Amino acid sequence: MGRYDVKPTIVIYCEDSNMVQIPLKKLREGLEEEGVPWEEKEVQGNAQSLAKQAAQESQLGIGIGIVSDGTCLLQHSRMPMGSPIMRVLAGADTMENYRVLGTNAARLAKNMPLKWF
Amino acid sequence: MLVAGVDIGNNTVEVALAEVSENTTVFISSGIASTTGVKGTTSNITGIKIALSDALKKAGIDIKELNLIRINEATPVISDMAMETITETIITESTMIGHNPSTPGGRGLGVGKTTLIFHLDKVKPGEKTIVIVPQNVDFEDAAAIINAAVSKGVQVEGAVVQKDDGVLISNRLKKKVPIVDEVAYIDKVPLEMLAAVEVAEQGYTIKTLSNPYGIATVFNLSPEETKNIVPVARALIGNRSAVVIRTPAGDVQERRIPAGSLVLFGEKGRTTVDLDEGAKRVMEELERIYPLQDAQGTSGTNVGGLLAKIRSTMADLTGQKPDSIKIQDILAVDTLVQQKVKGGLANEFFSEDAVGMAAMVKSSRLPMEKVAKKIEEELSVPVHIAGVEANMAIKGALTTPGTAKPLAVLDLGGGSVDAAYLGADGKVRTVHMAGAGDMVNMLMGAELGITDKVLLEDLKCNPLAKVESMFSIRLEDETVKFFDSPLDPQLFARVVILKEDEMIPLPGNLKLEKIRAARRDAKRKVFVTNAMRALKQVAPAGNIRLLDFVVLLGGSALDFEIPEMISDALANYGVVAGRGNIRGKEGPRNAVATGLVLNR
Repeated sequence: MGRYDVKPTIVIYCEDSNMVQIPLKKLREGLEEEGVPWEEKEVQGNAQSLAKQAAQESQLGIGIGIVSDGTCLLQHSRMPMGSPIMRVLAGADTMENYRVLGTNAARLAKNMPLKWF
Repeated sequence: MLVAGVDIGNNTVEVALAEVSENTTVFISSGIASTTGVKGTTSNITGIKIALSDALKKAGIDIKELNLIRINEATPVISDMAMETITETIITESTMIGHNPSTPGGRGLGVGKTTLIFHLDKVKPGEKTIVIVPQNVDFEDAAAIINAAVSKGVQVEGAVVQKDDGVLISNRLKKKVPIVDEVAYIDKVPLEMLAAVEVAEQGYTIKTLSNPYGIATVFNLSPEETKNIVPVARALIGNRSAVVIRTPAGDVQERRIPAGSLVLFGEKGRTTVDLDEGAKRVMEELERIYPLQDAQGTSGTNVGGLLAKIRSTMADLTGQKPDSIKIQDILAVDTLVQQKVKGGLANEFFSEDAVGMAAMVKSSRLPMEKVAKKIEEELSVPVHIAGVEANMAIKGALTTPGTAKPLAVLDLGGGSVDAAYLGADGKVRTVHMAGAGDMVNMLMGAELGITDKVLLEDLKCNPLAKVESMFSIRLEDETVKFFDSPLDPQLFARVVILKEDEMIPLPGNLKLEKIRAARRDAKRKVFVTNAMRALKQVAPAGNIRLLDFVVLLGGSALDFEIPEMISDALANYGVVAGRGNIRGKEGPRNAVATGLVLNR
């Protein structure tokens, strides 16, 4: 794959998309409203490593990792593994938090101030 | 003999400690603390003690060894300030939405009747409609309902949405229409009214609704009605999206609040200035009749209220009656105030014109004897009132390397800008101008919509930067600084204040350039104006050109850009001006305390 063939996207690594349908939907909403393209892939691992790998895979250096219990991390390729930009923990108060994470992933790419819940 | 010079200022108490013998004075150390209570009252004692012990501790000397304390006869000058807006924008009957959301949907212009999404099924085919979508409707449902209506033949021309769903809905529509989202008070949007929704392409601004003739074309307005719509168009200039709704009595009014007039009583007669003519005119008139003996505002107007406010604060501080307070100086400044629009549907903010004003009064002589006695009692060290503040400041300023008589000092404080001039004949002339550091904070706060006092102080005293990536910031001078470890994500893409090693994020979507301009404008409007006014008063023959040396003193002389601004302005007059360096090492601080020690 030549370097000019790769589309700049935010990458989402998901352990099992069937287990996290609603969080994924909310993430996509956040990304779509902000108008930034993304790709999704099913990969095994814990939330930290998923997010980190996704960020490394992404041309924008921005990755989201989500595991089956709903834990979701937003990661930047240049940030160390232990300190994600933002996280939504399993059993989040509201599903809207996932949308905020999606929005922030997009804003990170657009160089806009992030939203906080 | 061990002598301490103690200068009680409006904001700080400064101490200079020295060993004084028959014909030599050797300075040992300096101390500083915040002033406790109002300057010249016995509650100052706490601050004095802290400043003294600060100096003594640095020198490793016990207070028992102190032989004498010299305090100054403080200038009985107090200043205060207030601000009043003179324009006000009111939206009556919800005629427009102009909040500029970051991600509106679709693009183009759509005109139709406002209809709640739940009633879309009742709209007849062929009818032009603007759909109103409240927050309890999911974007997928909203898109589905609109698509269904369109396939029935309803002409959906645009939408107004409460949640941040504009792009999401737009992406799901078969026929794309402009969508304005994040409208907070959507329930107040009038229904069954003709409305126009416009969204511009990314990177562009709206063309039709920001143009009075554009609105006239859309709504088929008469020339008379077009005149009335001008404020709406003006309010929407520069937006990427907007909604204008035509209601029978709807209007956007830009009301000019009758600001009233100001009567200035001077030694050379009296004059009346209408505040509507602007701050510049006030200052011109003031200069004409200077020195000022009192000022009054028409009661029941803004100036009246403004001066009454200042008078009552002064009365509280000095214990005098409000009527007997005579205003001795005024600084009026034109400015802009960020204000929430009355009747707005989406938290719109507009810049309104305002006048900020600082006023200064001379109170009766401050009871320094009382303060001196109290210090004597509490510290059992003899206390002398050893000199007038301005003279002491000059004595202290002369310890700055490279200065010589005749000399002028400018004391840039928090409440006032004071000037003193020592002529070749040894005579000292002094003057006090209303408005200084605190007024800068007030002006910046109003223009940027910031009310946090601590934040404003930080904003005034420190440069800005924009966080550009997780690892880098761009500074005011366009240079980029990199960091080894990642920055806090909270700071990402924000404008921050660089305070020592800290970065303080600023709220909202303020642009760095705008904040910087507001900060520098406020400083220039207050400090440069007052420096010039003050020096004109004390300079020989009122001519600044006849001054040789001007030494800048006081807390605001420590600022990172104010001294340069003043030096720059004075350079045009061929005057050497710069930040003082008391005793060659104290910087612009400690002048009065040093002067007190030297005054024998």
